[in-house]
Amino acid sequence: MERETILSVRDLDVKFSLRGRKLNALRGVSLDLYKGESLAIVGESGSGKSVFVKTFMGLLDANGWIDGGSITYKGEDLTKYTTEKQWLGIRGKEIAMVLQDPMTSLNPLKTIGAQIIEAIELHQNLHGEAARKEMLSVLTDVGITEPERRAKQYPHEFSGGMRQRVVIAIAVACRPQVLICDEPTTALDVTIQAQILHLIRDLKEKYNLTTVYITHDLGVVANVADRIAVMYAGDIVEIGLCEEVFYEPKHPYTWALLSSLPQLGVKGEPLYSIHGTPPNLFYEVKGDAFAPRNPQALKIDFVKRPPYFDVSPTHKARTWLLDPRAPKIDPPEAVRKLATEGVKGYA
Amino acid sequence: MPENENREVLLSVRDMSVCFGKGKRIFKAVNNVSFDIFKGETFGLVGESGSGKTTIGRAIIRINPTTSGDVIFKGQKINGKISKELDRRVTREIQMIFQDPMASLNERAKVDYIVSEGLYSGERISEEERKRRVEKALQEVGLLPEFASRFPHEFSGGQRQRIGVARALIMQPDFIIADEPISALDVSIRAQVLNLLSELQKERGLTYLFISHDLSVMRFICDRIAVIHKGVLVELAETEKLFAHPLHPYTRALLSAIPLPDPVREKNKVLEVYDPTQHDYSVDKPSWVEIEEGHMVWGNEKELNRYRDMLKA
Repeated sequence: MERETILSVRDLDVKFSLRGRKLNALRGVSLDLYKGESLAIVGESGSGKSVFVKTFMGLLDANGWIDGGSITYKGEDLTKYTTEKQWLGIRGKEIAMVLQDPMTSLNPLKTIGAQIIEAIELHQNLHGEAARKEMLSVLTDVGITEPERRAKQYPHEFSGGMRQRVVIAIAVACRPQVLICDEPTTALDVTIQAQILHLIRDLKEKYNLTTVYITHDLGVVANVADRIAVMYAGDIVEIGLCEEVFYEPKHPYTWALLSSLPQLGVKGEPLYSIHGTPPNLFYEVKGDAFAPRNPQALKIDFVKRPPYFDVSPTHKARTWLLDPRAPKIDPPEAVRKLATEGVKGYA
Repeated sequence: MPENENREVLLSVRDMSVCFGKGKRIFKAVNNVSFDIFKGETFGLVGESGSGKTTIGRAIIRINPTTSGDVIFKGQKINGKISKELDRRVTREIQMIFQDPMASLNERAKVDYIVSEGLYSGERISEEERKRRVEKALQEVGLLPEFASRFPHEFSGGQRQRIGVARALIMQPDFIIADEPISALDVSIRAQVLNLLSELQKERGLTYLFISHDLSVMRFICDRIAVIHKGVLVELAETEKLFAHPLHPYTRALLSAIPLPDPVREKNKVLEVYDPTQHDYSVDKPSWVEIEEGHMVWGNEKELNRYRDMLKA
């Protein structure tokens, strides 16, 4: 299955300078994003998932820089961009972003209609009545009833879920190719969360978007993803189709992540928990970054960084366990249970 | 699960309301809720933001005054005006663990002081005794005694939440209100804190009121769960009963919305949407009724009849 690649990242290194020390936030990350797909990037806080997508839009904090590698979008290497003007051709126009907290990503002093029109004027070159019409149609698309009246209101007059719809409206009003959603529903209630995820999926079809989700909630991932990339300590340790990563995970970190889900726990027994803490990225990480927390780590895990091993044409993982010479280690019971029985559903 | 009748009630909330504001601008955050919490159990309270779940916890621990109704702890009324002596006892025996360990610890105080602050309000104890208790509390939550001389910023999120637990434990409480204790933590750290809470429960026979919006975590640790919507309790049942036979449409909507970490099930699930206008309470008034043993639900006669049919089916 040949798919068109819209964005291609190769061996990306990102470093931050903090109090005179260098932090290796991303350590040689490679990823191909296919046109029209929905990719979810999963990882704990500090794994580098947000930093990774920020590099696509030139939004790294001032103390961070790209230290190597390339990001190719439509034949151009984004890592070579130096001026804001170059980035303005990408931001919003090509790649748009929806942030976690709708309370803080809107301007409290402007009506939401004006905020959407601003994006339309800038990116679609429509003005006056045409821009207003487009604004109303986008508001309708994101499921806001009575758009005429609502457009005249300010962000504080909207509920959290409605505000997130407005943020999404602003993002799609730019007519981007790629929509990045950084924890889009973390600040919302579950019932609202389900509606917003549904909305993003509908818009993806309608506007032919490629979507990238960043989240730590594996339930959300199962809902939205065609493909999943698992990040740990500034690197993608496993990537594959949604079903492959959930039902046939290969990397010990993915195993640990799935095992610690309360849905897979047995009541009355302790829940699986990962020992220790993620590695300190101020230091060079030797071998497999997860090895110190993996009770079954092999000797080589502490010495040499594993390459990617292909599991299937769509699935690969960075673990020595997939080397033909490695001893056979079975995934933990909870992970096997997920593949055979699935999680308990609700009536 | 033991029979409810034989279990000792530790805390009983009866027709409790909590209002904010006054006069025309009064807002009823909690509306006539009633429930019992048994000794040694983990009682879950689930609801959306703004539903009043945190207010209930705060009203029990006397941070927010109740407007009407009773809160009875170990057979004694503890809301409203109470004697100084009783107030002191309640302060010691009911403790709270907060949501965000980044925000709930005094940044300018050392762990030693944070953990033992509660002891200063009780009977006078010697400095050595205080130090000894801090050390013991830290050990119980899996922290090293030498951490006592450090500041909160030196700890990770999971460790900070352990400090929050130690601060509650040092008072030797019987009852702990845990308000979203793991929501701010990463998945792998969550498991550690959950395990710690259940270990402590086993060792000390603690009773928990676990307030959360995350039903998948609650299913794992709660014995019984109460569902609250806009200040009204709509359903209460043993955990697995609630998941197997949810009756109230709001409970059903909430359960159907939980994301399942299982792509096949998640992508095929049917979402139920709750429409509050479906209730016609203009003539037929709703009440809080035990529809089957240990299973309470909020509804009027007509709805209750329908729920009974659902249970038979």
